[in-house]
Amino acid sequence: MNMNEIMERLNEVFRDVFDDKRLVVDEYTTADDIEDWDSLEHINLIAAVEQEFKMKFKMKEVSGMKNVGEMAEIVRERAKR
Amino acid sequence: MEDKNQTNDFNIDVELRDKQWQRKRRSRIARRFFKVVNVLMCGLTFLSIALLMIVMKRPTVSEIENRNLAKFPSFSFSDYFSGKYTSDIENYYNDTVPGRETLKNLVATVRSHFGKKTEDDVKIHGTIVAKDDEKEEKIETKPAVTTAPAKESAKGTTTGAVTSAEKKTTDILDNPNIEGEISNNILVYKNRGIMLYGGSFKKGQAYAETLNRFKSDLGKNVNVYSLVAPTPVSYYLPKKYGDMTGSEIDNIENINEYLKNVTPVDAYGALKKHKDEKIYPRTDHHWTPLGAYYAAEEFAKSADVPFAGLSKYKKVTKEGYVGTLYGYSGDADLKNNPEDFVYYVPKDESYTTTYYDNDMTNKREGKLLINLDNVAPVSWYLVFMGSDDKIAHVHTKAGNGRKLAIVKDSYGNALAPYLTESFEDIYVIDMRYFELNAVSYFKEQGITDVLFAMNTFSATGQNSEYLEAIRTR
Amino acid sequence: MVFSSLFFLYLFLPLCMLSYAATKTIKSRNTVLIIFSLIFYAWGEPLYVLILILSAVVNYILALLIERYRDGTGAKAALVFSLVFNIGMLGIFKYSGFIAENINAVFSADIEPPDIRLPIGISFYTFQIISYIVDCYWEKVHAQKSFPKFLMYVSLFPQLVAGPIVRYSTIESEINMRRTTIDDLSSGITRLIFGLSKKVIIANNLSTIVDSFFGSEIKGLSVMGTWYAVILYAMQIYFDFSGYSDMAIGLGRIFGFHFDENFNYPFICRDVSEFWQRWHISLGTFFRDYLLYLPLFGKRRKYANLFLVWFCTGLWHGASWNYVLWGLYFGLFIFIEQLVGKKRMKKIPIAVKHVYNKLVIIIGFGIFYFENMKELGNFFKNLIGLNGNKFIDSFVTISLENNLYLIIAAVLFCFPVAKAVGQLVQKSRRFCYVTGTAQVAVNICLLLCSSLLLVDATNNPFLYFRF
Repeated sequence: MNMNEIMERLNEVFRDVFDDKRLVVDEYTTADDIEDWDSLEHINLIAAVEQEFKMKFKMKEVSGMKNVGEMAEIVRERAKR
Repeated sequence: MEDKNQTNDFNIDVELRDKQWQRKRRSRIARRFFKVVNVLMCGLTFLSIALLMIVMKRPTVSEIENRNLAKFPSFSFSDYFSGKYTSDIENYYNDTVPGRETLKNLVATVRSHFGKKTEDDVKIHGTIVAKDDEKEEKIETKPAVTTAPAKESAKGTTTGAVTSAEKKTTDILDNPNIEGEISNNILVYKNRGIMLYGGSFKKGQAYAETLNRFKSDLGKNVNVYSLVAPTPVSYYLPKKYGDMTGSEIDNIENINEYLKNVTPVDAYGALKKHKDEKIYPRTDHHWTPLGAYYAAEEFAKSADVPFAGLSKYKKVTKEGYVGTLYGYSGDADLKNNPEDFVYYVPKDESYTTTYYDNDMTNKREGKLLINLDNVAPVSWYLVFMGSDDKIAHVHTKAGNGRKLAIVKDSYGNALAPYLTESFEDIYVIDMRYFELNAVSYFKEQGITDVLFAMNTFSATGQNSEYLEAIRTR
Repeated sequence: MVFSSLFFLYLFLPLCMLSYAATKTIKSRNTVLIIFSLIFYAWGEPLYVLILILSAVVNYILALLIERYRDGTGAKAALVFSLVFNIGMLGIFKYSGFIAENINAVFSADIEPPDIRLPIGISFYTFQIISYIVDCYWEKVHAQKSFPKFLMYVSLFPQLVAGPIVRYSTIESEINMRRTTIDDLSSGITRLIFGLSKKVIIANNLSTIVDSFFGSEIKGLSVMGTWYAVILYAMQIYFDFSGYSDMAIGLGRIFGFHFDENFNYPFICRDVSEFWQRWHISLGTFFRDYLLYLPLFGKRRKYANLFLVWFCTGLWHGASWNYVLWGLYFGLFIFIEQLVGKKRMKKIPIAVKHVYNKLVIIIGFGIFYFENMKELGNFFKNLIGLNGNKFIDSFVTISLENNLYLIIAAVLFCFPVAKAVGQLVQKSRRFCYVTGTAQVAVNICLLLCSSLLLVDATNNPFLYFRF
């Protein structure tokens, strides 16, 4: 899986979770950029990403994620194995 | 020409930039300067206050609060490990600030600027009293067991004295809840402190029933009287604030309803007739000696004994009286408007006064009205007997075979001097401190009349529970 | 020892600052801070200071173990042990009585509630330690090699007894190396004095009014009296707690530490969620970082974790059901706001939102006040006049007039008025001299006024001490 593909699929997940068809995310998107992305909605987002990529985040990662790029990076690492 | 212009422009530019830069620099320097000044000034304030607090002499007594200030603790390991030692040091340091009295008066002034007075000059202080006017037919009289610890703690909180005449003094200021004759819900109206009254029909009923039991214990040959003294709230609270207080007369009448074979003394009516005279101080929670005189007169009527008119007394006036209510409310208006303390000394001094400790030990001769020369103004009411914490026996030349016991809170203290022509022996005991069984004590002394004399706060509050305790002890 | 006492301000603090100023190297400065911090703590807890030190020793070692056995299961074991130890300490010293009572109530058992007094500040320093240990495990920070330095982090007296909960990562570098600039010193002192004034001039005097209404049985209070007192109580807690945080942050700066803010004008919030992003921020972020994402619950974990966090927030404030209720109460409103969703929340008129959130917050403080469930019931009845009480009585009108200026000041300072004025004048450079002088004068005035009022405060405990 390459980064582009991951980002594309992540974007779909984001659109789904935040219920916004026009939403576009890139590596540098942070919680501040998306109004609905608060600490609680983060949980739903994580669950949706986990489901999409059939993987699990560690609590450390969930708590420490700074932007979408980091999220994608973790997804890529996990998907390798 | 062109060149010159350019250089000129350039120069102006540089000058401008230079000026801006200079201004920025100046303001930066100025800001820095003020930071240094801020640190120096604040640091200096901290240090100089710290130094003053160490160097200056620390007071040991608070007149306003009528108590000894905290003392530097002595070291013990158990105190240290319980944390008492360190907290006592801290308490000592915080409590004995040099110039404390002056500073506290200043605090009262500062506080008075937190808001404004109402249009009719009213302020309130303290915890709102809970009104309780529910009646209940069946009440559980509290067993003596529960009051015993209360008594213990009452004694435990007794702290040092202010008067030089007497070792101990009223300690109500240290623990009003236990001492109960004062409420800290004080309304100040035209420079008069008025304690707002909660009242309790249930507790009043318990009080009455205790008196009934005294009566049946003592038998039909002993007369028992109940004198429940009203306080200024009955006479001086403006009508529009009536909803802030319970009714003293309703509570007194409620008590009287429950009394059986006990004679009620109508102090309320007696004082009401004289409410335009100085029957209560403005700044103290007691009544004035004059107010007590009218109540004593009413009692003498009920007891059918002779009673001496005021002409048989010498009137003494002391100026600059600011009573207990200032310490309680911290209200600057009370502090700034002192009044006169007027009391009456019997001209005929043929009676003798003997004092005992609360268990009738340590007999000593004394004066019924103590010398006020070395007593702080706040404690001038202590002219009567000097304190609550003892037993007084007055022996007179009345020679009518009547022996009176007064069971009282501090309101009762003021009654004894007016009864020196009415009873040949007068024993004054305070139910809060008395350590013996009151019924057998009365029998031993051959008492013919027992007067329960206390204010409404005591009768319908916790103090009445002490009565049951001294009856059954 | 509390910050708002003459003993602290004019004996402990000058001695501490002079000793600190007399030392030059970072090592000796740290030593001064450790000694004074331990004296500060031992002053109130001569015995329990040993628990503090024990906690520090145990967790110091565990953090080193975590780092050393990073790759094996050793790290995990050390983490688990540390969590058990820290939460266990809290459980024993804070909750054992509460647990015993509840077991007794549920199983009608007869366990004697153990007679254990709550060590001052244990809730705060235990949370700091937990955050440090977890951060070590997550490799966000390096374990501190030097025990004295770690002990200093745990015991640092500015934030020791009432927060804020300072993260190790926030001051990691400053523990090793720091200097106090004139800027730090000046703003630290100013902050200290502001915090002191918030506590002594405003909170303490609001507390006198609140106590006069809620001090005895509240059944007879009028409807307005109840509202009046609970509104003042909300402000009292704000000034009390944020004043203490200000003092902690100010003291920290004086010694060259830069703590994060703990309050950000919570009452200007637009909804309840935002209130909690502005109130006791260090606690909120603690629970967010270390509890909210705990993968305990399956699909429904968003809301399950939400209520878990709010249950714990409530319980953290005190070992009593009213605090749990209080936490869940806020959890409920945040849950509702989540259901409504940000977009729909946005469409609600701002005035309606302010009325809504202020009501929720103020009634929340009522739940916080009344530990006794019967009194809490009476409080609710009073609010809507179900106790047969009057609508308004003279107590309220007189009290309001008697304290009018104090209350106006309190309301103003709940909102960033002072900050706005400060920024406005700071912009105009010309007034530099005027504002500079004014600042110094205001500081001295506030300090003198607070000190004066402290002379009168023979009884002056901090509300947040018991946590």
